[in-house]
Amino acid sequence: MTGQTGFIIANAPSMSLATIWLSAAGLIMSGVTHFALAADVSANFAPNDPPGEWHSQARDYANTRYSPLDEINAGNVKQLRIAWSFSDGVNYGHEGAPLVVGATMYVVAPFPNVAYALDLSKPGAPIKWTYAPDPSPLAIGKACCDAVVRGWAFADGKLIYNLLDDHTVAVDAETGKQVWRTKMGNVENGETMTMPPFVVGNKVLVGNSGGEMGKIGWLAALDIGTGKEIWRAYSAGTDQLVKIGSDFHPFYDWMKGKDLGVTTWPADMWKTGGGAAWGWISYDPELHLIYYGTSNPSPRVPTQRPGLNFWTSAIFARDPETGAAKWAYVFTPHDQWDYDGVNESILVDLPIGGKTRKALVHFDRNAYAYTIDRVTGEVLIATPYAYQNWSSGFDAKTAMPIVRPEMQPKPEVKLSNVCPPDIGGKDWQPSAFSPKTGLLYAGIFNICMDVTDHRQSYIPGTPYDGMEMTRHPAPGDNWGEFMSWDPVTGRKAWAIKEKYMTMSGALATAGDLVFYGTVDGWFRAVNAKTGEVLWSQKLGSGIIGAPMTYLGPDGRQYVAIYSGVGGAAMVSKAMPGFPARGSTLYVFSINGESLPNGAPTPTTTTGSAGPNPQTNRSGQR
Amino acid sequence: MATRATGRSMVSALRAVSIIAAALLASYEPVAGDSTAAAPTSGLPPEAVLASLPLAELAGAVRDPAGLVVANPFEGDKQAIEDGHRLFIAMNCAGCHGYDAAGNMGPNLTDKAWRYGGTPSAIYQSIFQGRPQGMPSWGRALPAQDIWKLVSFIGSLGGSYRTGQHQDWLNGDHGVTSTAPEVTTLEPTFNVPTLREADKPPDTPLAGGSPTPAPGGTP
Amino acid sequence: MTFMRTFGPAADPITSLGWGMTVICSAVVVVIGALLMGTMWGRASRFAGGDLSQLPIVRTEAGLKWIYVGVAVSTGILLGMITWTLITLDAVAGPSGTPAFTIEVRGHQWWWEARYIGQSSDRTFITANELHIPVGRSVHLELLSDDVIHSFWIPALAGKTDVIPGQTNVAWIEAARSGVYRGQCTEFCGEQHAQMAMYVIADPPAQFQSWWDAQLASAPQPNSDAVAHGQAIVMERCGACHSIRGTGAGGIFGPDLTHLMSRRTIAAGTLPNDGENLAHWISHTQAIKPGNRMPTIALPPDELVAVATYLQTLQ
Repeated sequence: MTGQTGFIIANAPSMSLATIWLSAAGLIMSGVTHFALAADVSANFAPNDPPGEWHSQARDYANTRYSPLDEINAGNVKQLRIAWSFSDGVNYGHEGAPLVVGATMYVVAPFPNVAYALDLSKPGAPIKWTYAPDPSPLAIGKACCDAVVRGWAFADGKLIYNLLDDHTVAVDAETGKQVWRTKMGNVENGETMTMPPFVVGNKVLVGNSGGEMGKIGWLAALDIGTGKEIWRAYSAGTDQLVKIGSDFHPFYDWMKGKDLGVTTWPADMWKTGGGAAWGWISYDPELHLIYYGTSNPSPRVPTQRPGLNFWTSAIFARDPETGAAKWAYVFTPHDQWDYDGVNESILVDLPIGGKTRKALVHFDRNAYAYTIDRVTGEVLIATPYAYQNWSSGFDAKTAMPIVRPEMQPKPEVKLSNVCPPDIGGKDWQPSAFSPKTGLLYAGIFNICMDVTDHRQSYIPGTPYDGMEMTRHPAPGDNWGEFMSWDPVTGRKAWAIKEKYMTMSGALATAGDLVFYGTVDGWFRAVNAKTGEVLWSQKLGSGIIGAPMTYLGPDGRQYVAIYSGVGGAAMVSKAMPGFPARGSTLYVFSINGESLPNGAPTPTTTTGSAGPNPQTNRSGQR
Repeated sequence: MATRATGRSMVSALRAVSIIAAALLASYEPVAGDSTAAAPTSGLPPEAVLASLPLAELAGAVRDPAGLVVANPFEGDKQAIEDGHRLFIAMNCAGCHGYDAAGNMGPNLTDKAWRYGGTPSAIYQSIFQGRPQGMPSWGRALPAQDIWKLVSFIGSLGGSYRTGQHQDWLNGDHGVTSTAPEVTTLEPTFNVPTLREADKPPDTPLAGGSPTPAPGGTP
Repeated sequence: MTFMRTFGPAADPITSLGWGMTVICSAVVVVIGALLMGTMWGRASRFAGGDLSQLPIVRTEAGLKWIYVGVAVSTGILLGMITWTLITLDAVAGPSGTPAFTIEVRGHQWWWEARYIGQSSDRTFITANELHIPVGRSVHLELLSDDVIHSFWIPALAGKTDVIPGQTNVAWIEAARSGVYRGQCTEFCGEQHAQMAMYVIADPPAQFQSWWDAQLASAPQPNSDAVAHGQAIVMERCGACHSIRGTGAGGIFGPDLTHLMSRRTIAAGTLPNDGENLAHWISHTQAIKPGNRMPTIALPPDELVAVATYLQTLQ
């Protein structure tokens, strides 16, 4: 962490005196000073869903994962107990967060992607309906990283999600009947879909998985009423395929040019180039732009594809109506270590150099934390948040990373201690933002890898990969860490080291709490300001999903988290104490209270005519 | 100037050299890496025998072991194991099953759990035909020789069963469902303890209360 | 495939040196031989008929003079040859100007892969066994191997350089005249070492440019049902090892076939490349080149015809 070079405020105008004083004070006093700037970091919480509900994975367009509920707070979180639980019976990794709309909770299980609606108005949240889509089992063997589903969406009265075998389905939220089902790709060729759809207006945005299978990546928009595909933007190929037109204005010159999605690849290799859009999408309703990242280039052996390999490991800003690209920035051009660019971008407005900039904060797989101007694509801050040794910094003018030549893998030669590993300093597990503290919160990794590349053939339906890896912890011996990050200074405010990987999403609440879970199954609540762990609960299996919170029909606040290890957490499965698989959703409340239990009133068998009115148990209904 | 003596010694030297050269040529063996050397083309089982076996015969209760006793023609051939390892990486098997074959996207090939059978001919069939949860079919892409070499390599990893020992495999099968992922370590057989006579509960039902659990363990 | 007459600056100095040394050494042999003969016969005739035990011992200055002259002449000649050798080594060490481009040549058992590195990434492509170079321009070669040690040698154009696994060797090549130059693997590398040839074809610059442009193109789509049928079989049976750009065949362990018909030979110089030989090769690989890594593909006759039909569209 120390001695790692990044840059801060690359193109900042001159700073005002007040900002300089505040920045200096912040450098002197680590723990408290950022509060002076906290009020300066803000986010737009559109679409401003009802505070007790949770309609999309990230709760809002800006991807803050912040809940305004404060009934559960730093004062009483020690009394948090399990209120009820729900098992979906599937043992693949559980990566999504439940949605709550009104008095119904919606969850989708990993393959075979059965959807459940749970009736929160009844004790024990019984199943209201199920929808079993019967996807093709071929998909199980084509999914690189477990047969997961990373989330689902609710909009327009429909539960909308992706099946592993490349279909997007919309299910009537009331009845559980299928409304539409659209085939988006061919699973037998190695393409799958795992990401949660993201709804903007009447458009459902979905993307594919398959950067390890030689599938060219894409993001598509479907009409929410009919499921018809409206546009599809690819991550490599001609400008027409990538939807780069006259509106495209990247900030840096090295991203300007014709058909860069073709010219930065050897002949025809862009067709199997990867760049899958399997991660998170955010949206700025004022600028009318969506932001999302693309995966690693394919194959994962860089010597087979000399060139900058656009537009993989990049972030795009697009117009959701047409898909036209507005700007892009490539995080890791000619990526050699599988550093996908798909991690979430949280949209925040923050002061840089005395001005408030509309920015986004993105913790990339390549271990750099970026603050990027979301209007223009200018990189304002790029500094490591985890240990890395693949680069020695950035060219401050072009914002291109400077690769250390000795960290470039050559085929058949073992390269030791490459940090971060392929799964990055942080993988897709999403971070959260609290407007009260102005900080971002994320579970990150402290891992390195030894890698040997093997040149690979492209055989459709099989991996186009080639990286043989073993992973081990970086200096410090802890595999995980949960941190809070100050996006203005580009520094951690506090960090909690965890022995096991921290691969859960983060949840921030107005009760000054942040929730996260570990891969060995501990679900924790932390003081958002100080990082003190206030409460922990061990669950049945490791936690790789995202927590959420809602108000039940009884007016109580609940916190829900799935437990079921899998996905990329399996890279540490050789650790002693690594948990077995699981399939259970846990819902917590203060003292575990919820709707009274559903036990029927017992009848007696001896003598008396009927139930004694005096035995009416108060509180039981 | 060549004298007679010199001439004679030259001739014997030439003779010696030619003998040594002949010996060297005779001892020449194919270099490592020959993919098709020593292939017993006549010993390969006809593909029709294996291809005609219905899947159920391999995956379920076996009445007729015909086909399952087909041996790997490269049995005991170390070169075939090396070639199979090379093919395992070249054909992207390692990408799904892991470079150590211990499983990743595809199942672990080093343990005793075989969804579709772990004898050499069963493994051959799985590679040849492909399988429902994403295993591609290689029968048209690879010649029989190469598939048997892959079987040799997988057999060298310790998890597979011997030719004809399908009963061993059935004993270890624990009914993995079609949707559960593979378990990475397995006991080869279950140890079902048997109750001793003295520990068995009496035949008459106990009056009132719950029955006393028998000591000595329940499975 | 003679090395005694070469056609490019990478090899011409060596050939000149070789011939020059041959001439000098032959001259030396003739002169010494003549002197030796002269002294043997001359001395014998002067004393013919006399009593050999009565030979006078005559010491004259002439004897030492012979030695001085001899040593001086030898030294001069040898020094001259050393100098010439050093000049030659320097001349072939590297091209005089900047090479026009780089070819990455990779030796496999038992064929040659070549990746042409273009000015921009999208002009980079892979071909096999037949290299084209522009006349009069030097080309930088990077030599690699995936398996065992081979050696790259175009006798008429460039000297031998080994390709060694785990190491990148560099060489260069240049042709002064257009023509077809055959090369051969010159380091024993296994059973089919003898059938691991390659061709280097030097084209005039404009022709070379259009060859490169043509090589960049993807394979054409089938234009008839028969061709489409052939393509389907090729995808299934051949795609795991061979690449045909523009289709789903992406194997890298056999030669790239995207422009198969632009090459004069198949199987690394083993057979002339025409339809009949293609079909013959595919169905008899192990008979033609026993031990090579391509298995004999047993296709029924109609499929073989379809495959050959499709492959012949890969111009």
